[in-house]
Amino acid sequence: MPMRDEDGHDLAREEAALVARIAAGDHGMPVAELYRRYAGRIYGFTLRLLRDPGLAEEAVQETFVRLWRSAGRFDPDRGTVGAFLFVMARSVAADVRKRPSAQILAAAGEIELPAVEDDVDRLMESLVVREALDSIGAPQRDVLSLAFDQGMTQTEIAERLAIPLGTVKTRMYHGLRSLRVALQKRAFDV
Amino acid sequence: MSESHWSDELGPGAAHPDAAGWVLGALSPADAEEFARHLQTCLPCQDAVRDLQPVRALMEGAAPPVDLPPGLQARTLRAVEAAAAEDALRRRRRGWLRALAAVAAAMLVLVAGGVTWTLSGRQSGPTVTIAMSAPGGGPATGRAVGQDTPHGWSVQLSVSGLPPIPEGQGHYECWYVAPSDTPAHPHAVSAGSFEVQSDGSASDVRMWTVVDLQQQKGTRMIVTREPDDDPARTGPVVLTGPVQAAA
Repeated sequence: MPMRDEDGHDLAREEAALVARIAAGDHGMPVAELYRRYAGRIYGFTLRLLRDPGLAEEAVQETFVRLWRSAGRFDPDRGTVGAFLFVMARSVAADVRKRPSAQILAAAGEIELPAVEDDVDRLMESLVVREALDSIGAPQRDVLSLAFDQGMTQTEIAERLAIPLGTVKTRMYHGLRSLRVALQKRAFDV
Repeated sequence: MSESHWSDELGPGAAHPDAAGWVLGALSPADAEEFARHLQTCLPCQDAVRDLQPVRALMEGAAPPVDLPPGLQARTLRAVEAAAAEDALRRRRRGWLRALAAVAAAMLVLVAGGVTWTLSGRQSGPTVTIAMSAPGGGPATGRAVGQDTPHGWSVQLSVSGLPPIPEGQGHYECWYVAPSDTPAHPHAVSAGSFEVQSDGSASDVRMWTVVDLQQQKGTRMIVTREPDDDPARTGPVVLTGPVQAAA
């Protein structure tokens, strides 16, 4: 459900420029900035694929090392930096899974078989939705989370947070609208 | 749930704030009943509910929150730094190996050349010149002079205006390209690789080739920017020019 808007184009250009700087030999700020933007999602992604926090950490590190070594091959006409990173992360996870340390876990049934394409896409989508949720203001996010994750009514939320019911209603309204905008910025057609 | 209550806070014509609570199923039974009645006749609220329902549907698929392990950022950035240092070291080693190979090749050529020289008594023969420019326009230029010697063609290349390539990120490579060269059927011979200085220039890079530059009509010289040590020609052409007999 892609939706390319101005923000999306700006972000894509900005991130492509960061990768170009890495390709030109800068392994400082551009790597740190892309880590800040993507490490959470890549960790969540590899954690779901590998089912082991240690292996997922290994995969995050290896993904950024591969970014450093392959940055020159990134072509902004063929995809986004995010897609480039997740293709690498998936490949890294497949390699990490073959390592002896992962084989022990696989033998114990703790690592799933490689996910099929649809599963990977769904997994990535769920991570992007989580990131969109995390991006909205904490007061609004807390209200949404209490309602959605814990099934609380607005009255119960007002009591829990010790705030007026009217405040809960407006935070919930603005929170859901902010989440909609955040999802649109991440190419969801909602 | 009076209209003035939410119009003051959300602006005129805005949907009722309970639209969000309705979509999330978070209204008290009394508020839910009242909003259901209101929704039947309020167009802004119908629009809001229609807009927000897909957002709720996506929330259902959100991944559980994940906290990054402490220290992972520092470990990752250190791993990248170590990879960069390792690449630089490997590149320096390759440079030394290339230099050693060049010295060995030069010694071999000198020996073979001396023998040929002695046997044939030939002097250096005709020369060719190659003036190169960037294929899409731009400041980069190159000039080469090739001379037929008793031990093969010697070519001296000078370039300017090429962007310096950081260590570990590739190198420039010079090729002789036959007229029959196509992407599907490459017909090119590498003449050698070189680096440019920080000002984008390289002077008098000496290369040798067994290609007879004067006999091969239509031969071009090109310079490509190669991303790695793959011997195949994969990088973009940054300079190109025809091989021409010197006037």
